[in-house]
Amino acid sequence: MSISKYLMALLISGFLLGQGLIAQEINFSLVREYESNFNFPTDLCGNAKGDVFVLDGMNDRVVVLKANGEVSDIKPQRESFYKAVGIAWIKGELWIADTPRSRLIKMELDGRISQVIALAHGIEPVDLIAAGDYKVVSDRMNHTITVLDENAEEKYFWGSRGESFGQFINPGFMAMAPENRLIIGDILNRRVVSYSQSGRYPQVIAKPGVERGQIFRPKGIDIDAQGRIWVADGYTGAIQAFSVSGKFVGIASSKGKSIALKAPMGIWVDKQNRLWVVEALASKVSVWQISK
Amino acid sequence: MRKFSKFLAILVVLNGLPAMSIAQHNPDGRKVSLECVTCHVSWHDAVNSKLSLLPEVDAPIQLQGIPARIPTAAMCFTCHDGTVKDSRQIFSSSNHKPGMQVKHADIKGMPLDKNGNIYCGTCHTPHSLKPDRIGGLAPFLRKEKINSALCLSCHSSQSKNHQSHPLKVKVSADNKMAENTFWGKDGTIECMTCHPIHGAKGVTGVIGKDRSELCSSCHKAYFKIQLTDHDLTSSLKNKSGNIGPDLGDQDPCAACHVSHAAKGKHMWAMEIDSKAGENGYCIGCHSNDGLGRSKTYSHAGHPVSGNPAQRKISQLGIKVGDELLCRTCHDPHQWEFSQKHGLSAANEEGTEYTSFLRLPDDAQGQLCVACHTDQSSMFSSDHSVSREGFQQYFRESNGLHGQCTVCHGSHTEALDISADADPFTTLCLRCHDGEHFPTSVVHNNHPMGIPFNSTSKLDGYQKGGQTLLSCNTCHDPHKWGKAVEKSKTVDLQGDDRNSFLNISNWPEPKLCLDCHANKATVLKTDHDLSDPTRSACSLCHTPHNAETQYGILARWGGSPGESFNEKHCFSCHSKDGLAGNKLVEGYSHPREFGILSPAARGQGSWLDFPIFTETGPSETVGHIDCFTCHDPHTWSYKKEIQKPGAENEEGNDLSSFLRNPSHLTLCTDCHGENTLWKYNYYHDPVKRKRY
Repeated sequence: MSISKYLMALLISGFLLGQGLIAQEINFSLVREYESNFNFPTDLCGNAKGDVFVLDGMNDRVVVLKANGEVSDIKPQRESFYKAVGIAWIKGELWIADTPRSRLIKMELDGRISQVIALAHGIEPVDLIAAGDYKVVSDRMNHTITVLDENAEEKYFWGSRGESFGQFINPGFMAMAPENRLIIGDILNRRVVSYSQSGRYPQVIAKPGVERGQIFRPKGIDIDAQGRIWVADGYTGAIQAFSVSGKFVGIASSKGKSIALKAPMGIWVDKQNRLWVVEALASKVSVWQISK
Repeated sequence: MRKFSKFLAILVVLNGLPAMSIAQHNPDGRKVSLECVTCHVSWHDAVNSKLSLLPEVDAPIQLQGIPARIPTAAMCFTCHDGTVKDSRQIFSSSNHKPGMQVKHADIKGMPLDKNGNIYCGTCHTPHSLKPDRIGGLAPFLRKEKINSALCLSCHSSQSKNHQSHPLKVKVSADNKMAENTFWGKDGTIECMTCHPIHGAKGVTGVIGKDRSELCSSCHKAYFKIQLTDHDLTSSLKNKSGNIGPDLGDQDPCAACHVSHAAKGKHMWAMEIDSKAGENGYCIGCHSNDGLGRSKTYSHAGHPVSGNPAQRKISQLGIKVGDELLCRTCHDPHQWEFSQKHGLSAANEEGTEYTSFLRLPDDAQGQLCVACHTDQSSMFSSDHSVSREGFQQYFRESNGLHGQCTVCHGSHTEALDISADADPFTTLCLRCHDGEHFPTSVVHNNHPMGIPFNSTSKLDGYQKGGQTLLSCNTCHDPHKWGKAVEKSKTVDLQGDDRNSFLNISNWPEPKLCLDCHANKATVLKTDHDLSDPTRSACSLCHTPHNAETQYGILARWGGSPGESFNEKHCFSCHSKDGLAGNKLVEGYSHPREFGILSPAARGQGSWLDFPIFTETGPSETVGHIDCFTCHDPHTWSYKKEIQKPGAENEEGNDLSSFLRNPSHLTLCTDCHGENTLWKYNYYHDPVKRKRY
């Protein structure tokens, strides 16, 4: 009987957790906001030193928010990336998904464009991440995921437009989880799904919906030191955490209320457990300390 | 354990609820598909759940004033942030961006946001998505943009023709609009041709208030107005005081034209006097209290209304029936027709080449002869301003020196003359005054300013209801007449065949006889001395610079005789004269006695036997002279023999150009019975010898 009681309590707790009814409200406290004359910035990334690079594509620049608090611009010396959407720090290199021009560009910190990768099939890259020596690119035009090898040659691509697993309606931001699990925000299917690098073995991370533990417009995705997958919802403004197995872990809250940012897009969690997020409609970057 | 199993089953069922909770219904309660809630987030059944992450729904959109649960601009941005489509430039533009207040529009049937401002859905809706449809509703527009229907659904007041820039007009292929310009069907103008819906500027290519770049893209030719007096942004630039509209930083078009809400046709910016018709656009400024008051129009000038063209005049773009207007001759946009003379600095005084004329009044009189073609022969005559000395004279006199404007004032009378003066004489004497040109007419001219009876209704000048004789009665200064020396066009010595006469006076003196018909009796008499250059009248009479004012008698040189009658007659009736066989010797009647005229004696008209003094005929007292007894125009006082029967017929007491029969002469009044003797003595050489 005592075992039954114990099991019952365990099941009830599991159910409630599954429903998000007693999911943790993860306390967020605002550390800082950067405005820096942004004009609908879309994405950001950070390096090991703690410098953050914000893609301010409408201003044709990258804004560097240095770890020491300084703010500076990187203007491309040649080649514009006007209206680029995604940015990534990959093995000490700054890469930009130059969306409307179907290419990836590597920009040095002095603004020099040192490498341009032209993408085939009319790919319009939204985001790119590293997968070992490879690069993975999400494509808003063909609704695919393209993998480039170490020589920047197209290794393969997968996905098509649709609602089934393995299909997307506008794959957007991505993150790489342990065991090479690729976390992809499937924007208009309103879900976050993880796949193997080759597009197999789908695992739903966040299901569609407008309640806690659900996602409506998945945008920025990143994984913190604890392995939590943080997802920004571009419409509700919520920042929520999920486990790699797709369980709702918690929702960012401040002063007892879940935070609702203005069209959050790219996010990045630094070593100090701070979440950096682009608020596109507010044209700013806010930094939140995630409580332990 | 059984209870536990039941509970477990319930939990399993409940665990599946999250997936089921995605059920959705529209505001009418109808279940809708998942696709709908992609945008219609408020249709989620969970919208009001405690776990909902949505902001409180307060019917954010108004449709015709009624709250509607349809997506807001924030929803649009979730896709148009670059991840699906990139419309960030629209959200960041200052033109038709979400949240923009409705100011100059009358929005009907289009949704607004909860604050009554426009948002994406005001113009766009995915439900009309048929971008491949002819006419194009892309990008997801509620109405077609190809015919400006979308724009006019809110800006209907901007569509009135003539008060706004016209729509649906085709633009020249060589326009300089940007490559991405939106054109209507067949390259016609639509609202969006000039007005990008989104972007930093409300109008393409406009910097501040300066539309130069935009307007000149299609209307380059009109920009010849720059730096002229009609470019008020330039000509008023350095003026101070309340001189006119504030046109600072505006374009040259702004003074007269606005693109919308015009006050009249031609997108006219100012109020105009509708009574003035089309000319009102010019008179608005060129009136006594207008900006262009230094160049006002007077009705004394060329007529500019009520004169429909009778024929097509392509040089001026005139069609049959077109009314004569200011702009018939003037192009207000170009100071100088060919641009060969360079742009005018503002406030430069105009010439016959400039003055905003469509064509110049040059040596070919291009502007005037475009209509007045029959006057063009003047340009190769002595009256041409191209003639040597002409230009210099008029330049010195600071007058106009165009081929036509030298005599004609387009907007005012060419000369400042009093109301009583004869304008033609005044005008002609400006040159023919004896000082500037050889053909002076300052002495003993045909009487002027007198009434006359012309068979062919010759003209003159009007005064007191009468037509009085003037230069134009006999002369048409535009037509030289029969050219005698064809190789020569100027410095001609005129005669009865030309001399700018209205009617040729040769071989018959038709011009003279047009008024002096009773003098036609001289023709075919011995006094008809017409020759290859002169008519019957011209040997004895000259209308200008005559020897006498009376009778405008021709010059007689060294002719003998005591009175001007004698000198005139004896210039022929002398030994070496043309009438040497009709010498008059012992001719002069003693002048020491005053003779009373018939009228003075109460015996008829003085013209029955005109008597003379030294200055001319006298109606009362004078002396007897040649013309007392002779009328040189009439062979006989008897009508049946007014012309001689044969050439050089010998005269007798019935003919011989006598005015009256001998028995009616006044001679007997004094001489009584001695009259015949004395007559014979003085007039008959044969009989004189008898005495």
